[in-house]
Amino acid sequence: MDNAKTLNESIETLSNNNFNTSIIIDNKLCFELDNKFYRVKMPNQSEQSFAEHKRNIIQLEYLKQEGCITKTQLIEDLKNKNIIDFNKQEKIRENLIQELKQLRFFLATKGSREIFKIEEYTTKINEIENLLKKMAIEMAIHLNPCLESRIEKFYIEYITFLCTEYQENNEWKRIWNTFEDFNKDNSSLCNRATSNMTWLMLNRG
Amino acid sequence: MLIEKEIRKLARSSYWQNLYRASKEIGTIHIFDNVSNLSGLQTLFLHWLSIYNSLYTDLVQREWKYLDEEVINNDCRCDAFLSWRNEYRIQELEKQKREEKVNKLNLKDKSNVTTYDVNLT
Repeated sequence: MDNAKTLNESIETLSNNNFNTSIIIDNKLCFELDNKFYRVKMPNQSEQSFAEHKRNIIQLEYLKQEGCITKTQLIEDLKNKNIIDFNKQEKIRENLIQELKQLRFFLATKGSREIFKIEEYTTKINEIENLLKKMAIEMAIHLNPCLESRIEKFYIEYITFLCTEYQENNEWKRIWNTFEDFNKDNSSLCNRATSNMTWLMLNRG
Repeated sequence: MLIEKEIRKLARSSYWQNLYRASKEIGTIHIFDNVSNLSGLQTLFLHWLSIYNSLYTDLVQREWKYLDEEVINNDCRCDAFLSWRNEYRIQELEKQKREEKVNKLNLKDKSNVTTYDVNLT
């Protein structure tokens, strides 16, 4: 009985490990949605060049549009309208990073037996890290309408359109035939695929 | 970030650490199914593989008083240790550079250095 339990646990651990390993074993990321399997894959050279070419075209198009604003202009605008001052935010961020560095120094010089001190510093570090994350998200949201963010968004969506596949009869096939199809698709698949692609590429865009 | 937590957990596991060491010694052993066009996640994983490799090496050599397995397994403590180790190494390097500069000067008594001790001829 005990052996069976141990075996079950081992199998469970193994399958968990297998699942975890799937995120790095190759340059693809699989996901499941409504009982169907999908995957996003890294673009090959030609797909990447094609997406970059499309990105350049869209940049010119955005520039012609009314209300097109660059990151620097938007930061200035947000400051003048008293919405958010990025320079102030940057100073707050620098101070928090300094504080974080100091706390990490204290934590690093504690032996594993000093449980209470470790807990105290860990809690403080987590609080600052969460604050920094919150700040980064807030800043990114405010910068959403700027030219640079829009171009970045377009690029990742275009790569998602090119490199998202579904499985049919043990074969992987592209989901959307055209970028228009991708844009017209209102299902949650678009968002899931885009977020998975963002993760897969991280800062390789 | 949950995904980075997962990646770090994998990177410090003995399986991946052994594979990493073996791949460095034997060129034909590959870590991933693909050999080129690495994804961002794979690049991040490689970064953590090398960091944990250096930590395990330091641990075996008992290089640091505050480094033990608990530190390696705890992301927050590990980050703190890495930041502290980095700072310590920078300071040591600067100290070494200062000492080298003093040694290059032709001094009468190196233990008690003032500007008057420098032989300028």
